[in-house]
Amino acid sequence: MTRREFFALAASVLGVSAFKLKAQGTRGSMIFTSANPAEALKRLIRQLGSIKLVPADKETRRLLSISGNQGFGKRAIVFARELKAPVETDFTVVEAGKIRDPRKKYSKFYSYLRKERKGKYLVSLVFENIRFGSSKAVVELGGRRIAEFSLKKDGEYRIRGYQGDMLINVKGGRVAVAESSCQKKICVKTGYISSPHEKIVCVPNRVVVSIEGKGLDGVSF
Amino acid sequence: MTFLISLPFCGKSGKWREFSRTEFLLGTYVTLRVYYNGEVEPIFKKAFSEIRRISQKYSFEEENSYLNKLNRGEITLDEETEFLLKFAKELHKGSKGAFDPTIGELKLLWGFNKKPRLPFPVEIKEALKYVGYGKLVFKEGFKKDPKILLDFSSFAKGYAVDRATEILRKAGINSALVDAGGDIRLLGEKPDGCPWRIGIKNPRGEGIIRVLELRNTAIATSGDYENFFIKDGIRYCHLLDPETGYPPRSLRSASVIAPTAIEADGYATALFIMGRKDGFKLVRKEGLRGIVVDREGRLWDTKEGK
Repeated sequence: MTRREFFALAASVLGVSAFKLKAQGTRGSMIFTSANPAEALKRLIRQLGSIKLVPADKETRRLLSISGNQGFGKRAIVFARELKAPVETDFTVVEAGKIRDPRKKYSKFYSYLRKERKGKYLVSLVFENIRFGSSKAVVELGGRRIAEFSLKKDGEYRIRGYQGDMLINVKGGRVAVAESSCQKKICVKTGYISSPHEKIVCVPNRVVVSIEGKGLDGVSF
Repeated sequence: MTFLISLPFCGKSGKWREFSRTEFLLGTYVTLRVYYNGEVEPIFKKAFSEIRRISQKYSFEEENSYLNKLNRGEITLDEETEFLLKFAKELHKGSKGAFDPTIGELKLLWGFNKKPRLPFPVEIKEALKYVGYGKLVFKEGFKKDPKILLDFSSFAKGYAVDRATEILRKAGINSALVDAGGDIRLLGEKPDGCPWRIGIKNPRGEGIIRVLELRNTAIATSGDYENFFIKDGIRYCHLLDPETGYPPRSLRSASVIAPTAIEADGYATALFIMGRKDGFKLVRKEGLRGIVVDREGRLWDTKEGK
């Protein structure tokens, strides 16, 4: 799932038609209003499965009755505030715990918000660890490209390394080495990769599996 | 290959081509990616032969490497090794002993370069007798005690990356990325003038936990998620604490951003072993940036003032 698809899906699940979106790297934030954010967010978790919601503060935890979950995977930090009065000129937008002047930053969104009424909640969601849109995995043997796999189609591929065979598994836009003839199995332990320039390395087999795509120039690991 | 004319996206335009080559050295892959408008073959050749030289010279696995000859007391200390030891000594001091290049005997005991196993406590106690920078004595250039084994694997990779980057820079290249097994040095910025976008790998599961925009700098990560084994529900990784003789367990990964790759590499190891509190103190003192993921999966960044 690409970043764009992710946000589109999140918006439809949350049932919000107008929202402000900002994406950078594997992080992105969404600000929207909702009459019942707790229900909307529960729907989001049900639909998108692995998302872990992290309330930004005690007040949010109390408002939404969600507990803190600090793990990685797809993670979203949520910050919610009840609108105490009809939205007038001097209200604030809270983004990731910081107060922003909405008139400067979100003029379109601001005019939308002005129609909102008391009792609604202003919710800011910061997603972390959203995947990049990558479509191709590349296999190199001894520095030479020997195969390319589309990530759009699930499948298993057998390749021959310097020492023996390796089984490469493509599933849901990600790629992993499922089996390898090497001794230490560092390649298998690496698990699935999906971001541009992420790599699975098998030194005994002289094999590097990497992802091609835009958005990143390298990955430190 | 075709010429690409870069769009002046970040204010810089010009003609350049992307060249990339990967070889297996230093016990991992090494990729040179350069953006250049000229003949790149002789430059690649020179850079890779330098990495190969360092890889062979300081190999801990290769029995007849210079390092192992030095370890056995068969050969004298040379200028280059003296420079590396000086770096190691400073970091050893700064890290209060957490970083130690005399870890060799302990490393052999755990067997992470071959078949790892959990040693008995008595074995660890015995191996620790031969670990400690203070015990390292040279006499007329020869190392005295052949049981004290130098192992440079925690910073030789970074050193090789720096040397290769220097060769690229001297050849007139001003935009390049040198990547040795995830230790990355960035020469200049991207050819369009944008900063390099480098991700830090999620130590558990898939994905990227942070994207950093960097220019002219280096980044290295030490983690417990690549070379490890699990016994009785406990994860034992290849990085060892020279004080206890066991792998430290407070962090899942530690990344350091520093001007050179040798610093990034060495300080990432030190940070991983020292843990967040003490490690961040050291990293801050040196004016570097550290990012760690602790054992609960929380991310900490020295730049975010936590």
